[in-house]
Amino acid sequence: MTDRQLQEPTRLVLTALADAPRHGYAIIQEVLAISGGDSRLSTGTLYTALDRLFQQGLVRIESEEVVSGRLRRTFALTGQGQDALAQEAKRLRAAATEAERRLSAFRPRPEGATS
Amino acid sequence: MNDVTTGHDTPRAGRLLIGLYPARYRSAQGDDIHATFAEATQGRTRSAVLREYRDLATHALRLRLRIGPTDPAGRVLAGAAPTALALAAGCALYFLLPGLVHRIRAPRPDLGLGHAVPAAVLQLARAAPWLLALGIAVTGRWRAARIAAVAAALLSGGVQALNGLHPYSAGQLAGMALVGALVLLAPAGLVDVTQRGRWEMAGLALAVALPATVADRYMAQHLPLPMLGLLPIWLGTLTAPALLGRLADRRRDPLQAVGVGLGTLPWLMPLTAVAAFDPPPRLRPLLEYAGACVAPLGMALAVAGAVQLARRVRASDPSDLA
Repeated sequence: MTDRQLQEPTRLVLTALADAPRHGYAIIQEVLAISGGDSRLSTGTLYTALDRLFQQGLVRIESEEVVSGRLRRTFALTGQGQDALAQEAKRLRAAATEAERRLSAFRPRPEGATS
Repeated sequence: MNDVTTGHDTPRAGRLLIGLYPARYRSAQGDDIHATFAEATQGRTRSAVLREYRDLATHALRLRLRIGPTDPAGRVLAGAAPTALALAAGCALYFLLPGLVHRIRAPRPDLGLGHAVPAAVLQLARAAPWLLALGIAVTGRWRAARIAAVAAALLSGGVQALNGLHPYSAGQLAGMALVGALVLLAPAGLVDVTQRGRWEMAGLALAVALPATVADRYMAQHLPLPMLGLLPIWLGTLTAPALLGRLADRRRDPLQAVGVGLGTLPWLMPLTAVAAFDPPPRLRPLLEYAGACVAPLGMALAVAGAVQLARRVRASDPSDLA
């Protein structure tokens, strides 16, 4: 499952966990910051993505603590999750490099040219 | 009007929504989800909080119905939904263009153009929403396509009901409802809206409509058999290579691949309805016809099974290592 292109929320959640373990709301805030304010995950969407990442073995529970009488979990990437994100970053970098190469090679035709 | 939530009412609503989760999941994750939900809704606008409610309820209900993206049924639905939508849009295109032209150019002599124009409008109302839903899906916006497809199912079902219901047309209506249900229930995050998936949807729809339209004209002139009668077989035949391709691709989820084949089920509903509510004196021709509809898919499954077997044999053959 990990060798295919990652869905946007999945990639954003993995990226949010890449530098440090985080709890649910911190992931939502990180995703908002990473996407420049474009993507705000809802709680339902976040836990849908986390369920899938758990099943694929890309995310694990780093720690559990009780805050105001409630259990709160902190999530972290597994080794497999780090590999999947690195692979995705490589794919995106290659696509961006190719796009830039083609744009720099583009020579607009002079106005009035017919062929 | 105060459009920002105070945070006093959301914890209670959150607790109610957490109650929708299956007991086992709730005991494992409920506290954590509730804590995140309470923080995520604090100080947000009412519309943002409503979206939070909707998404949390959807997540909970998917888990309860076992159609989440990690459930086998959810994975099957994610494969079936884009196929069903593409086939529905292809059929809509096939019915729309020749039907409109024929109705306007050759109105029934006893009813005239006064009847032909409303009939053409009804036909347009039935078909255009499916094309719109596919168009949105092809741009990669599956969530919006899902809303459009459900609207298309309701609209085409309504028009179908206006024309009166007998077992065959009731089966057609049930088929359209099934397409709407497949698209609605498929986990949005799992549906393949990559460039390849989008091209597959568009290609499948065109592969339904264009050859069927040409064959329709040919058969009307040369054969005593309307193309309409062969449409379910044509849909199964077209879906079979897509099913085979998915099953043979080791990177693809096999359950999603099986879903691609199940995307043709809505077009078997009219046969099922006839067999159940108005069975002909001899059931055998009906069963043979149903068999002809699913035979291409069965062949695709058999070929994919043979390919898998050959791969395993090759992988375990020590002479290949030399």
